[in-house]
Amino acid sequence: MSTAGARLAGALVVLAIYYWTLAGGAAAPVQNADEAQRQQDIQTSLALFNTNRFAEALAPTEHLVAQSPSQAIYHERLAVIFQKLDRPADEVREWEAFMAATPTPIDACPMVAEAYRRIGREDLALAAFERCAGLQPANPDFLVFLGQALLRADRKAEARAAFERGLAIDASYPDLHLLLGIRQFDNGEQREARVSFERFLALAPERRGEVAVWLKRTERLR
Amino acid sequence: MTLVRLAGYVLGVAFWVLTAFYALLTSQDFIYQQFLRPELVPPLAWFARSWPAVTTAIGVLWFVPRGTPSSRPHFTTWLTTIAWAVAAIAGWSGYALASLVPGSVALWCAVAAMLMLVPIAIAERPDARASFGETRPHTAADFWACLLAALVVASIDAAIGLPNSGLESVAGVWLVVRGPLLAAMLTFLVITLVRATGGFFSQPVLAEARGTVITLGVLFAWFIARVLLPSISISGWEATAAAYLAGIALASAITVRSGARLGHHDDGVASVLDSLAPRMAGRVWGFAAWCVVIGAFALVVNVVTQVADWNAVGARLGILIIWVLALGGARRVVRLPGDGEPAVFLGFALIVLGVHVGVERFAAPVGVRAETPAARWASDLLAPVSNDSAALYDFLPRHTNIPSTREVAPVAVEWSVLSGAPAAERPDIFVFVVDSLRRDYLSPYNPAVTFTPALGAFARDNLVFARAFTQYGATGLSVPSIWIGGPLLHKQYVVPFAPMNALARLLTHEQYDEWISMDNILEVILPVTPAQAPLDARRPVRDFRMCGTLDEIRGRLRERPAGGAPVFAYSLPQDLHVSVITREGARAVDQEAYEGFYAPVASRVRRFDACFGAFIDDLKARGTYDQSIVIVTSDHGDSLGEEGRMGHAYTLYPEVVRVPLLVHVPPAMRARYSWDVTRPAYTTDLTPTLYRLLGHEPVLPQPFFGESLAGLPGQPRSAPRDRMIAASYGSVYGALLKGGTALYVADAIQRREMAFRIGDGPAPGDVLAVDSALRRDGSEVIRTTVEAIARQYQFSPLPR
Repeated sequence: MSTAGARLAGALVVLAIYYWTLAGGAAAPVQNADEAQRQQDIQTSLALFNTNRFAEALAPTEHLVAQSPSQAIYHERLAVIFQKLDRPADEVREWEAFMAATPTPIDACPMVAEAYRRIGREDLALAAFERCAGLQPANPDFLVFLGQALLRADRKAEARAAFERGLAIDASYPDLHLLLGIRQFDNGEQREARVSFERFLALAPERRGEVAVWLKRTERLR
Repeated sequence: MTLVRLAGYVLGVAFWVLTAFYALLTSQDFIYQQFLRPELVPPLAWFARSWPAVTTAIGVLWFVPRGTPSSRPHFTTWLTTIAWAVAAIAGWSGYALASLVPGSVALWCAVAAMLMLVPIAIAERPDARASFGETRPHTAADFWACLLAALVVASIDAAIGLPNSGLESVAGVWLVVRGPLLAAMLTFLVITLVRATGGFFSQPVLAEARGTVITLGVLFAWFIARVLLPSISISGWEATAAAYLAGIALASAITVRSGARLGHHDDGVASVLDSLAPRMAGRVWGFAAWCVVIGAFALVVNVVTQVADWNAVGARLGILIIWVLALGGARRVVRLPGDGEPAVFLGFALIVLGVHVGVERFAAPVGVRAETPAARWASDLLAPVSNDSAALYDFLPRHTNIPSTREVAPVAVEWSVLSGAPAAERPDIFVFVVDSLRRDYLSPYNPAVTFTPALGAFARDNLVFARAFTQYGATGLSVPSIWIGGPLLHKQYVVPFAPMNALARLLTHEQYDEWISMDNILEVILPVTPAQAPLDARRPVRDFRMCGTLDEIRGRLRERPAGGAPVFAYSLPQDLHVSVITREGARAVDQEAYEGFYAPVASRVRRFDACFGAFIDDLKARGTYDQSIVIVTSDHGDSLGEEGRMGHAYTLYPEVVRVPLLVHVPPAMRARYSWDVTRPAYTTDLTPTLYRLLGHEPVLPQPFFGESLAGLPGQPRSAPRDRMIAASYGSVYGALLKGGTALYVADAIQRREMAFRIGDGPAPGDVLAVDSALRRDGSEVIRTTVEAIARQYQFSPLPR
């Protein structure tokens, strides 16, 4: 080892061995194959989901849910994917799993109930809307949904009570005035209905079209 | 004149390095907000304020011996002078160091300051281009010099680490020796490479010298890129490129004066390394004296970094300097002629590596840990990075220390609909978040503590949450998270902060008088209201003291008219903060003995315990104690020497993440709720608790937020959730699992993971082996929470 070239080669080889040993593969543990797949799934699922490539995001997200059934975040993502892929039965299953796993099941509202409706289970949709309203009793949105579900179930008195409860929470919610007005009109309380329709119009003048027919019907009461 | 010239050179280099360092610190929001603006390090603040004057003075000192006609100035002397003059004029015109604000401008200023070293170094080159000598083989001298340097470093390291160096066992000796030994072999290999490469050039001596300077530059760059910059959350290719520029500029500046010796030297490597040690080191007695100097320097570094350091950067910088100085001295004193047999030396290097691998694989020292500064660093460097966590380590920094230049819109955090009149029952509320207070320094948590009688008495009648944790290590994000009631985007800060500040909104709705010590964080996160009457108004944050604040509160309570609005008092006393203790000389404030405790902290705890006792007595005498809520907690704990670590920069060791939480609630109010003091509690639980106590039923705004400590009677509580915690200033995240009994930590800065068992006793926690289940559960909690926070703020990290 007398020439510069031989020294260079010798030093390079030993340095390479040092590098490989200390920083490379020899010292590091071999990665667990399942864990490698999981890390891949985590990244792929999120990237595809965020770019609205829902069909492609399905498989990695299903893997994640299978591997981590207690992680609400993956159930939620999978539920949204099923919603986008128009698979309401699967969507329902994932929303229910999400609600069981998360400390904030309200985040599944009203999607879980809407999914039940899409599979034709109005009874379960109503139960879901009731759950939502129970989770956040002070949220008038859920009272609107609940009232409408009750109407579909022909439970008109309860629907009206839901609308009135919503208005007690937020009197500036236009839809509640309209829905309550219709209930009042159907109930023969035309003067009260007129007042509700006028309140709706005052709060949402740009939505005059929605209330015009009702205003016309109650016009003589002005 | 030569002395003046040398002084100008040394001061000039030091000045631009310090300027670059300050600008680098300024570029980061969290350092600017938490350390530079509150002037926690007065010498640094003085430097920034006096920068124009210092620039001018050192510039003149540098220029005078070089710029006079008799000194025949080099072209680069004029270039440097012009650049220096421009900097001084800019400084005097208001563009001084102190005017820098966080962002890329400050970062580029740091790079520019480091690049100033290049013309300074070039201007220092000898004018004469003498003919160079012929190179001769030096392999034997290189090899033995490297080994000697390793011996010096290991000896100093062991001496400093005594009595905990672990030298009583063979395994302990190996841990102390292996780092220096491997570093010596690597150094020898690189020097051999530089010499061999130099042989291909027409002027081998010059090529060797340049190669050595570049190698030193790469070493400095590695330190900057791998240790310094990640510790302040700077990464990416730009950072790496800047680190290499800075490293090579610094190496050039340090070694350029040795160029004068090249003309009559046959050894380019040694001529550069010689510049790292004085001439006297070339004799045996001189080398011994040089070792003593290095040892003294190591001792000073150890003492200083034991009291104040930033994620061990100071200690590691000290080790790097010690290595370089020892190598310079060793290369001077080892004068072996000839080449020896290079193949034998290369073979020896392989044997050292083989021994290391063999010990690690087949005879790993079980239960023996590195206890000396250099050995600890070597252990960290040599610890295998878990590939299972590699993706997490890449993911976390992208969500951490989001710069202020990245705009993120605030989000509303609504714990409850606040409507109607204020509550009928509005107790006074006193919240003391004692910065850096550890739970095991209070007698309610540790029976060995004898110096907190008042807090002990307070705890006997009240709620003592046994397993309380901070949401964030360090103050920067811990305090805002308390006011929000949950984690927040890792950014200092999303502004305006008011939509997130749920506690401030509650106080406004309930019409509290707000007596608040306005520190630099609250100035940002707390909306100004007419109800605010700041405490400690005339004191800088670093002078907030528990006793002073309590005196002020007591004075105000005395003068408060009967039937007035209820009071919310809040303070973040700085008695125990590492910067305060350091500034006060790291000494106890009394003459008591505190065996088993860190006296500077324990004595200050004793001091404020007495003031706290007087405050509680005062409330009782006034008859308002049972109409008051009193909370004593801290924003984080602190490492006080555990395995040599100090402070809380951005570590998540158990002693940092566990906090005391003592709560007094008016008896009638307390009886209305159920309390489980054994359940894990978090600092982010305080805001939802206050919402519930004041009659506003809290609804979890996000699944990862806090929960009320006050349970509803008759309603069984769900099992404690696994929760993510994090460091305020860096990408170090943790997960508290299994009901707060296990802590998993993913340190994406050092790319390592740790786990701890969190027990019930006074000890903060014990090390646990990281098994695949712990890693899996911990990393999942961390990742999903970070993702959920990003989603809450509609934040997407920029692609790399």
